[in-house]
Amino acid sequence: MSITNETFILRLEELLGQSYDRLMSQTNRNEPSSAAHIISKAKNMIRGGFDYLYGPIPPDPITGITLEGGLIKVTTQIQNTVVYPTISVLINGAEYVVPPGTFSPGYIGPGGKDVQASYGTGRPLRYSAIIGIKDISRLGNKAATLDCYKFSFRCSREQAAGESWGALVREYAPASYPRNYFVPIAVANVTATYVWPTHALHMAAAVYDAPIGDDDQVADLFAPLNDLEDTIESLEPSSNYRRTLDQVLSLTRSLTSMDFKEYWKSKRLRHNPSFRRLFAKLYNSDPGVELASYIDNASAVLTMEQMYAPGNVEFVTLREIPAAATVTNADLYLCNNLSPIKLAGWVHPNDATLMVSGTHSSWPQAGFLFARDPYSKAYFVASYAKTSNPNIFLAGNGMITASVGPWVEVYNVEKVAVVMGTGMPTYTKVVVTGDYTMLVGATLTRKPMPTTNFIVRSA
Amino acid sequence: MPVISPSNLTKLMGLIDRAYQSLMSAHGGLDTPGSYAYRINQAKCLIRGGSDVSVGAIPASAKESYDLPTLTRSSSFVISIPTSVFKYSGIDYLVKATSLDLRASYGGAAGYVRGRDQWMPIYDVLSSNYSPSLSINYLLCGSAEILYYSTQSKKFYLSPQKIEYYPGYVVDLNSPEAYHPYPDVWRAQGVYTPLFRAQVFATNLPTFMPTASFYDNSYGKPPDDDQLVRSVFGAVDDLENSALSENYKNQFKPVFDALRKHVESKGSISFTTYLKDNTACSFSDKMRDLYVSLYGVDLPVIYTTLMSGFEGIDDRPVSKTKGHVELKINSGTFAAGTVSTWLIKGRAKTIGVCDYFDQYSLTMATTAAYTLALFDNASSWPDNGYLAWTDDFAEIVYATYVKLNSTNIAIKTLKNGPYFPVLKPVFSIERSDRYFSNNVGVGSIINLSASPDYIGVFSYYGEGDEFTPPAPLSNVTYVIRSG
Repeated sequence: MSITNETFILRLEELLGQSYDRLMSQTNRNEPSSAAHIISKAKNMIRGGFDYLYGPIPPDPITGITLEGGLIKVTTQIQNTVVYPTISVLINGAEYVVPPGTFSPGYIGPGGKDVQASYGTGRPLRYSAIIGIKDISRLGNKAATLDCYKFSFRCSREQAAGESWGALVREYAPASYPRNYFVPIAVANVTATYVWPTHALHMAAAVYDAPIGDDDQVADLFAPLNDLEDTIESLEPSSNYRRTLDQVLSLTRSLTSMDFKEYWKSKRLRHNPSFRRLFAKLYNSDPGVELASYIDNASAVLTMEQMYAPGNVEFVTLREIPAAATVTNADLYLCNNLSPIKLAGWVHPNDATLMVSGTHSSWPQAGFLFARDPYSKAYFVASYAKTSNPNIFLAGNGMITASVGPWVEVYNVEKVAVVMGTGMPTYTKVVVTGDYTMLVGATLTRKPMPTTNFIVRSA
Repeated sequence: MPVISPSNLTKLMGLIDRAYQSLMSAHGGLDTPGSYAYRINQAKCLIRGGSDVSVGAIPASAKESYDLPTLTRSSSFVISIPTSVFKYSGIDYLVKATSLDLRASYGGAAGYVRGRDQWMPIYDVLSSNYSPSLSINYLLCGSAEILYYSTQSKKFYLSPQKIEYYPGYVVDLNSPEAYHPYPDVWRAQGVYTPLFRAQVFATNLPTFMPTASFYDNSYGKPPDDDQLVRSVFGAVDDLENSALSENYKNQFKPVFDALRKHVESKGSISFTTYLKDNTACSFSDKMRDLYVSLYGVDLPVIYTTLMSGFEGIDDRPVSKTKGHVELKINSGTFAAGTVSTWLIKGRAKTIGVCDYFDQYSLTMATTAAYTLALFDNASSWPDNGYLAWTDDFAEIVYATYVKLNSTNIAIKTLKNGPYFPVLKPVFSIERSDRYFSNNVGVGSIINLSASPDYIGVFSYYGEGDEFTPPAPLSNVTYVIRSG
């Protein structure tokens, strides 16, 4: 095989990308069980306090006293219901308090399986779920409630009760698991007759620590732990890969007389996302991603892929345009690189306003915006106009088509008109220059013949 | 100006330990599938061809095919495995095509997955001796990782390695995640090649799935492109070397330096002694390796206490570096007299003493020594001496041994019924009799070793036939630990 072989390059990209991702997973302080998280915990133990963005808060953070001897206790009641005490959590740095109550995760497990059904003598069905606090704030009013996420496999008792809950979540939670607005409290096994929640033993790693109470100890031990935390957080191995990737790029160019990106774009290769992140980090350019795999008069198939480095995009014809054909006009809706703004609460379909937190002074007075939940993948594109209140956007009524939560960032969108001339051979492209990151909409207003269609990809 | 409290020190060391383990697990090495270093090694092997891991599955025709053997299910309970090549300890072996019947009840005995963990000989490399022999011990249902394992006698065994967890009925059995959460303990040992995981019930075999490591460890077909190797290999080889050599000791050293300095200056006591006197000294292997690389000595090890005894009787805690073995009295008074112990000079795991059916033929005081193959290098062991291990019934067995080379020793057992489970530890031991002429009380430390050449203690008062109970210890409580 050669480096120009698609199977070979995909495997190489997968291996390089996975290795990069594996190490990078240790550097995120908000990722439970990562080295950065644990060292941060050690640092906080010396200094007192915490600096996480997410996690449960014991009732008395000054003394470190928590309910039930250090645990936030969730107890089972009857018939699929658990009882919980007052619980305080940090969600993205803000504190939420949930009053005591009951919660039922329901009888239906993943895949629609009912735990009340019989699956063989003596083998009661059960499923496992993470119970936690979910942010349901809306229009600036903070609110949270209990919710749960169901695993596609059953936890063993050791897994549920151990302190490896971070790994449990990272490895086995469904892709839709909302890390940005959900703080887990307990792991539960759910049967037809009971919910068996663990005490929040696994939460102990994330709660507030009382300060060590001795200045000398802080003076002696804080600095090296703080430095270690900084070191781990700044671990960034991408530069280690530069020589290897330089050689891959160089060899591809010598073999194909084409740039690496251009060569694989011509093959329409789907690069591994991890590899794309690594490549973008090294060369400040996405190696290549299709943003729309098909655009026709009637429809556009958007990939909703994000470019890992902002840049130009190109509009490409997949078929030859005859010389006499009509000029093609298209409108592309592209996320630009203006600062995104975070929502201040949930928004729901047909809302007429968006409450945001953060400045949008760099945004045009009117235009388009885009919001997408990174977990549920729900999104909407809407037109907006700034109002006199700087925090309020007025969107056209009914333009919000999906519910998204306050963890979602809103992006500014440019509408760009593309005009493609006549007499173009296949794979002719028009480059749209800008700092674009994503294609969120596309319409074709005119095209030369019914069978012609187009794609959009990173340039 | 107090020194850090024992509870805070315990917690802090625990956090540092967990962070280091997490980081090193992600960074990994050739024995950590999926890690940063492991994946880079695979990328290198993709460029160069071949495989660097010492255990794995190889396509039977590696030069012709990149694909691995395909496992198929030929009936409800039977999984067929084609002729394959497996690598053990860096050596390739051809294993003929075979099949494995996983039914819950098979041949009048318990099925593989339901049975005890017994080795099941399937094929000799040269002949094909098929001799099933199973024991009966039922589980309600179970899951197993099916694997090949080899011995130095070059026989191969297809074996179910029962795993304690089994996925639920709701789980998507086609999802790789369903089979993920198992420790890869035996994969690092260089002996096993996991093939697939299976779930077996009384009435059928619902599913089986090739393990991730089956693919991860596979042979990489070299690219038939010299220019690729010439251009890219050097760079990715350097990348791998830097990945494999990194252990983050420079990053963690300032923390340990600060802790040691803090304890020594504020507590006027050595860091090691403070740990030994005030904590359980429970540290991970990885952190102990780190500490050895930083300071040349292991973190302190509590070998045993009178109260706890040896919890895991088939093993003994050992230090990674040699030193004295000491006994500290916690209560009572030790009258003058002799303390006798068997101290550990070396520890190694077995690969297999002999063929499966010969295991029970070893008898007491045999004149013919058996050769015991070791998985670990025993070059630091004395040339001859005493050996100890525990048999399948958790009894301590003693033998004399003569070292043949660094990985093979000849043994003569001193007790009936010895049994050598694969990858279980054996210990090179020496008896130590220490005489003390004065009474000593609470807090006193008695050095049990004449020289700093030991890594642990195998047995002590009241344990083992070869031991004379030392009366002076009968009225004291104590801890035995590294010196």
